[in-house]
Amino acid sequence: MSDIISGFFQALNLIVTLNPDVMQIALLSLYVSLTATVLASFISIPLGGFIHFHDFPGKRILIVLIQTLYSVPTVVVGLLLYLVLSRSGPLGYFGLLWTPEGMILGQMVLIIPITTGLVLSALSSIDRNISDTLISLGATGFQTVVQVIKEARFAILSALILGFGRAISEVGVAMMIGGNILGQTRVLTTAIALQTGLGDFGFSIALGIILLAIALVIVIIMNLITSGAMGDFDRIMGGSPRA
Amino acid sequence: MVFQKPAVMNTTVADNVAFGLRFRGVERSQREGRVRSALEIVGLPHLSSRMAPTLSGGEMQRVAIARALVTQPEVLLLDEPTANLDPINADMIEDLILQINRKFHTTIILSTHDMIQGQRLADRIGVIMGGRIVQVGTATEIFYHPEGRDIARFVGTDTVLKGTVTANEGGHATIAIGDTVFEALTPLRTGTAVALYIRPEEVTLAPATTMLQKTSVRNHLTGRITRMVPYGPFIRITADCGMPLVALITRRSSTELGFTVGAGVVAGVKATAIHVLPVDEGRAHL
Repeated sequence: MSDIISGFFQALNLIVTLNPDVMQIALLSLYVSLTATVLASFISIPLGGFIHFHDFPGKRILIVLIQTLYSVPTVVVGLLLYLVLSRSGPLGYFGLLWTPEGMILGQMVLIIPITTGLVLSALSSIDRNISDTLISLGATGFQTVVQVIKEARFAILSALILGFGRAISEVGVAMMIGGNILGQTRVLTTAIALQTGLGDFGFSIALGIILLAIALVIVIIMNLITSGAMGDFDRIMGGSPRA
Repeated sequence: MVFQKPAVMNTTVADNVAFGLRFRGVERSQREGRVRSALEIVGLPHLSSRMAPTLSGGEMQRVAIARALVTQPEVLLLDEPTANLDPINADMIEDLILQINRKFHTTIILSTHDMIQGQRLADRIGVIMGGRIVQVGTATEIFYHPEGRDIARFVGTDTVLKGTVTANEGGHATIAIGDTVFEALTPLRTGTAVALYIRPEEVTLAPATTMLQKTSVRNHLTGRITRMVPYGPFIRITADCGMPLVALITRRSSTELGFTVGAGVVAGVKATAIHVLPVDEGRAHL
């Protein structure tokens, strides 16, 4: 019990004083996971759009496969990436193992199924009438896809935020591809695992609080977005009040 | 093209109307003016900055019309534009449709299940049954000269009687249906098997006790009321006069004349109100 209490006060001290080690680790976490999410969105949104708007044999199987990969274990992705990125692997030439860039790649592989799958369901929640209407107004195929994606923007944003949540909270890829090298690839989750093993509970708790704070910010943003989508948004955006 | 259920994008009304122009690469400076005038036509300029999904169904439908109109189409397709609207909004949309047609000479093709709406709005009507256009014509042609039994039923003609022309003097024919003789106008010759189509609003009913006055109504039949079905402010009365005749009269007159099921009545139909078609020809054959 005393461990927890003293650890908690030590953690507050580390956060309030902006301890450089803690901040460096938190910022690297944000950098890796945000970059992975943004890059994943560049793949997921067009990919989701393509799958949604095209009919091809095996489409249903592909969707089931994507949904199955929602719950792929992070260590399996880590293993796969390790084999691909290690010196003797097919992408060994790039020397991405034990680098933040390798971790970004790993987290992208991890979250692309989730973001793509949720982009797909976001798009299918858009009324078929919308795309018919767009076509009737003279939209090209590409303009139709872009506009339907815009219509689904709130749901797509939630999909990306969820993907970010999975990326920043995972340990497997960060540990196996990053290697938890202090000052280079040590992120919040790997640091917590290590410091807890070393008995440095204060440090771990501080990082845990930061991780939870990030989660809280994510939840708040998501709530703002979804409530905005439902009602208040037009008021904020300057629309006239409903008569 | 305007769909039955208007789909608006989750953005402002003005942006919604501008879509067609944006897709066509019209410059922003031009877009604003054209969007504004399209919104003025449909009477929604005051809502241009509102988020479109917050509008009522009637307003959305008007946005959808403005959105189609802004591209200055030569032909405007409307798929049951009033099907999901209350009568007041439906009236407003109908007025708008007429106004667009008169002002811009836009050809408008609209589908509807509402026969009366078709009569009100259309210069020409095509009746589609079983996926095929079965008759095209003016409202009068469709509703008073339907080409066959199915179309007649479709456009609200309830009474179809089969008989034979027994005499014809210069188009003024006598037609026997069982023991009853009708007078009607037709060029068809004596001996032709025919079907008589009688719209319910053309059938007059009077209590059986009434002394028959001299009117232009030539065909009088006595019978009994077998069925009374309310139909808005009207009531559809089926009278068995040796054959079933359906009449549409106001509820008020029905009450005043004391009509009830079983009451004796005299039914009358003007010779000019009977539409005669030969039975053996074309679509009239059934």
